[in-house]
Amino acid sequence: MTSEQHTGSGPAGAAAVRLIFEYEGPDIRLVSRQRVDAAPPPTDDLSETTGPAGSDATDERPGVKGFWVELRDARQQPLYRRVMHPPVRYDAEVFSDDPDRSLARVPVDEPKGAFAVLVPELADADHVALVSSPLAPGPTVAPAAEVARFALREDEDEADAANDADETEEPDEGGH
Amino acid sequence: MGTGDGAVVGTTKIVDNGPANARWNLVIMGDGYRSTELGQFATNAQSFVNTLFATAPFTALRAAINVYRVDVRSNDSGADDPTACGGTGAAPNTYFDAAFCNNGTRRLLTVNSSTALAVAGQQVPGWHMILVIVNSTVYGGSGGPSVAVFSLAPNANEIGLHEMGHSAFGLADEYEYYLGCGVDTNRNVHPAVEPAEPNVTIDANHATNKWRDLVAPATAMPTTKNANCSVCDPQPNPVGAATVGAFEGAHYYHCAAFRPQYNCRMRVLGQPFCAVCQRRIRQTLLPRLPVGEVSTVARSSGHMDVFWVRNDGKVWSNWWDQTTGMGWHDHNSFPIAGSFPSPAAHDTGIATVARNPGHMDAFWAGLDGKIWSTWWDQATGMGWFDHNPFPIGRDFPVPAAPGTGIATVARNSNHMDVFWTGTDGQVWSNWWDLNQGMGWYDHGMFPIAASFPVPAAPGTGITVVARNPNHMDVFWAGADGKIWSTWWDLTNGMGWYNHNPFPIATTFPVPATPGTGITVVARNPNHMDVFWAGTDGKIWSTWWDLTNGMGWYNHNPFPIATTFPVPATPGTGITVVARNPNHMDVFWAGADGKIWSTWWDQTTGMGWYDHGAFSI
Repeated sequence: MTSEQHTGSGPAGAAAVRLIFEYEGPDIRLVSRQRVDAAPPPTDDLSETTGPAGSDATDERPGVKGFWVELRDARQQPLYRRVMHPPVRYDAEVFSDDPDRSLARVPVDEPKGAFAVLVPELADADHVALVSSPLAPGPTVAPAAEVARFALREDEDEADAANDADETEEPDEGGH
Repeated sequence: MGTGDGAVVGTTKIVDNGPANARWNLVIMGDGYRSTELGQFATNAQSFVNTLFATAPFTALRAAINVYRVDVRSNDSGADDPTACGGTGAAPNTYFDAAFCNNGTRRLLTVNSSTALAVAGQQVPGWHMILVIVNSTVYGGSGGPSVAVFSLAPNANEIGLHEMGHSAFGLADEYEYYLGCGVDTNRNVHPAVEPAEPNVTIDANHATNKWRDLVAPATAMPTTKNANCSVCDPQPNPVGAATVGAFEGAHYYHCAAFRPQYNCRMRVLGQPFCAVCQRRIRQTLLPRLPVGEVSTVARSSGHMDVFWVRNDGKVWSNWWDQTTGMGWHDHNSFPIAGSFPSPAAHDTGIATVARNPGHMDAFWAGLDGKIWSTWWDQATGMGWFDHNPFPIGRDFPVPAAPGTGIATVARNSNHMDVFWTGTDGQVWSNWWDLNQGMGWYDHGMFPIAASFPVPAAPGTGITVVARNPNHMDVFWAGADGKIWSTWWDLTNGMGWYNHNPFPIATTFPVPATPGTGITVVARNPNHMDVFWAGTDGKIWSTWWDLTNGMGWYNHNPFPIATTFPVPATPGTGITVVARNPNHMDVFWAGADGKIWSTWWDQTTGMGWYDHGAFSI
């Protein structure tokens, strides 16, 4: 395991939380939650709450499809948002030698796997939400809506951090 | 099967640009490598790193990236290759369970992503992207939300780059089909729902498109239309390859979805990332860049001003004065303008000059490819915030090269010459003179030679010296790893176009390192010393003297110390100062993050090799 200290030779990242999810079909479970000394990707524009059709400031961005992770405060206001390539998919990318058509998709019957997100540890954050277009086979070009929400337990983090040098692991937790 | 079929051997940081909590951390793991094959894995991992850093925009962002190689031993070589997909039937026991034929598709090569996530978390807790290289020459790979997999087949590195686009930067697929052109029957028209990803859209309107700031006013929107939505659009690219517009056919649909350029690595492997994808990658990695170039000027013996570019796109400054209460810590650093019409490029060089003790001019490259400037004068109403930065030319025929060095010299207090490299590999210049009709916009900028036998190296430093008010010598690194120069003299027949650029030595024992800084000093009007970093991590020098037999080609370049305890960091800046005509101090950054120095004095026993280099 590597061990490094920040030496002031560049911008240090704030404390972050890595969440690891496993999915089987549309069911997403949080299986690991770990404080890490790392810099999460910058947030996407929080003021961009609208797609072309316009919307208001919640996770539902009418007219927008895809997948993103959000940190929200207790009043449901987004504090951090990162658009991702949809991780829960009923297809897989395949590669060919054709120089003009080297990429394509094939359907997957039983989607199953794991993915991780790295989010900042923000004092006002209340929960993390996964927002996604419908998790279903076939063309899924439909607006995204919240598909899972997980509480952020800062009190446990603080206790764990004191005892366990910045690392915590939690038992499995289903989204709700 | 699985983790019982091998072991994690260890982790090596193979690209070290700083602590993990300050950088973007790429983890490369291998599967199907036996312990005797881990040397091969190291070679394969380095090959991907070389590909990555030769790929825009990562080339200019390499300082933001650490790469960790995690050596994992498997009991057997290769990957499962089931006969059901036409494979060999091999079923080796490997740590991550690499297997072709996932979901019945031969080339769909996958690993156990949960195991990969667990190993990365243990070995490099601050990881941002995981790549698994599988020890098989069968072409294959897969993308996952956090883990990308590819084999050793030729060009399989491309799979890694494409999947990084998905996993690390949230980019969408730009291809206009799903199963394949001529295969799909339900991919004609994209539904009227905007994709969240930054590089595909349903909006081709010039005024509202989400990458409209990158679209030239003259570019048609949409740029291409598919005449038959039941098939992939067969038309060739009607515009230049670099044109950003709205090309119909994207995001798995033949029509009503648009991609930013005709081609992109998110559409076809082997193509460059399009400008929109590059911007997304840049936005993600910019906060992880260390502070870039630094420039300083002493307007008087008791005052210094320092300038640097932060990753907020602004040029910042701080100053020190020997007067009590005016030290570094008696005030705050500040951006040198109220607003920056174009953000300063994160990797730009910066140059400053004090034409007189009460006036400073600063120069840098903007993200728009122009060279920008602003100035400060001690006269009332002429401070940093009393005017805006401006481009130093009315037209830039060629954009400034990404990561260009910038040099300026004031040959006299009423004249400035500025130098930079263009994307065409030429060194460009513009000048300003206080005399009427000789301002920045009264003439065009120009390359400083009729022809450049070798293009300037990408990201090269550039330096200039005026040995006297009517003569300038300019130096830069060429793409051939040599240091090149040319000169201008006011004398008739000695202008920029009266001779060609030339390498400043007959042979270079070691090539200049990519992105090296370069510095020159004229200890007297008839002598110049030039310094740069070599690919061996040493600082090299050569010199020229007007005396007969002491020209550039009368001796060879040499490292300026017998040993370098720590190699110079790739792309280091270098600076030299001659405190008197017989003494020079040289400074550069080491790979350990410290500033190193050595010195030369004409006094016997005080030459380059009479003492060691040291961190300051």
